[in-house]
Amino acid sequence: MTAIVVGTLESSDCMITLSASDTLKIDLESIVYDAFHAQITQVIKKTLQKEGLHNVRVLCQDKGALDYTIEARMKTAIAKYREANEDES
Amino acid sequence: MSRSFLFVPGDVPRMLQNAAVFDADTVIVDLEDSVSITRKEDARHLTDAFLRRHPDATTPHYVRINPLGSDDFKTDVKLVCALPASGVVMPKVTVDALQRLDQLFSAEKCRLDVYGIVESARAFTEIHAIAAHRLIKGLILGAEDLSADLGITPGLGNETLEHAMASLVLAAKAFAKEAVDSPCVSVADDERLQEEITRALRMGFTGKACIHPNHVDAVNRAFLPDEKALLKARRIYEKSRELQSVRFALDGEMIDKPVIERAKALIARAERYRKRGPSA
Repeated sequence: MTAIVVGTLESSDCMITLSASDTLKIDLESIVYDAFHAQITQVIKKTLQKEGLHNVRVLCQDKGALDYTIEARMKTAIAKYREANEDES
Repeated sequence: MSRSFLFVPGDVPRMLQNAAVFDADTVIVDLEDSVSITRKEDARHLTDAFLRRHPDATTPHYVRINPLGSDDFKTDVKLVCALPASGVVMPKVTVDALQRLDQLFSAEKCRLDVYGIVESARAFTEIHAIAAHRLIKGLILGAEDLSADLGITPGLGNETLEHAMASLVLAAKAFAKEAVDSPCVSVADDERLQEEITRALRMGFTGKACIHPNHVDAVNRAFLPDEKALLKARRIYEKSRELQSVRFALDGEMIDKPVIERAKALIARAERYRKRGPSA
């Protein structure tokens, strides 16, 4: 299936790309990587867990997004990912 | 009562989290016109997360939902009912739309204040019923959409538009609701903004919507009672208390009950805004 892309590369936002994978993989590119990579990864993991999605590849390109933005973009990506999967099955 | 209402797109994190900086009396998080049809879900998720994580107790946050008849109406209402939002801004308001909203509020066991955007010729045929509706806190003029509906060019000096503005103010005041002028769409034209503000004040509007943060300060300042008028209102009020009378002369002018009531309202408005941010 094709990858789902949500969000933007504007300041204070992030772009999330979600695609199928056999295991959970999280790739993070961030302008604040050194200071916040652990926190951002935690928000991504927590949102996936809450939404019950485990085997996906997440690429997060972060431009200084706060936690609420990362969580919101993840939720949208997951909803669209599921919708696309349902359409294909 | 708010002087300035700042619209902020519900899908732009940078603007959402900076909205409070501009000292608007009310922030309106927008799910409608400033969000493209393909990004409505994105905007709902972002608005949801933003309002839950950043509750701003000092500035009321309303959410402009999509109109009745759109695919998003019901989903938007459900979302707002679950949020710590101050209320709803309803575009293309009609009596039917308010009744449908009322039903959805009941189903969701929620009750929120509503500002209705009056922006169609049809809405003006029932403006008194809209203003009287129990959910309505205020009416906002939607001059752009109304002008499109009427086939006129919006702008200063258009008689039909000014007739609509007067009708909105009369209906709102008749039912003790707020009357909010349409935003100035000329983002960098200060002269035009000032002309619109002057007209809105002259016509009796209680506030003005803003689509650019740079407009907020001018609106806040303009809708504050001016010092000279406030001083006179205080003298009128004090003299009426001193004389225990609602009919007397002051500076060669006859003062009666409506003048005293107006003076009291002006003092109350000044007191309310004095407690708010720096531009007040």
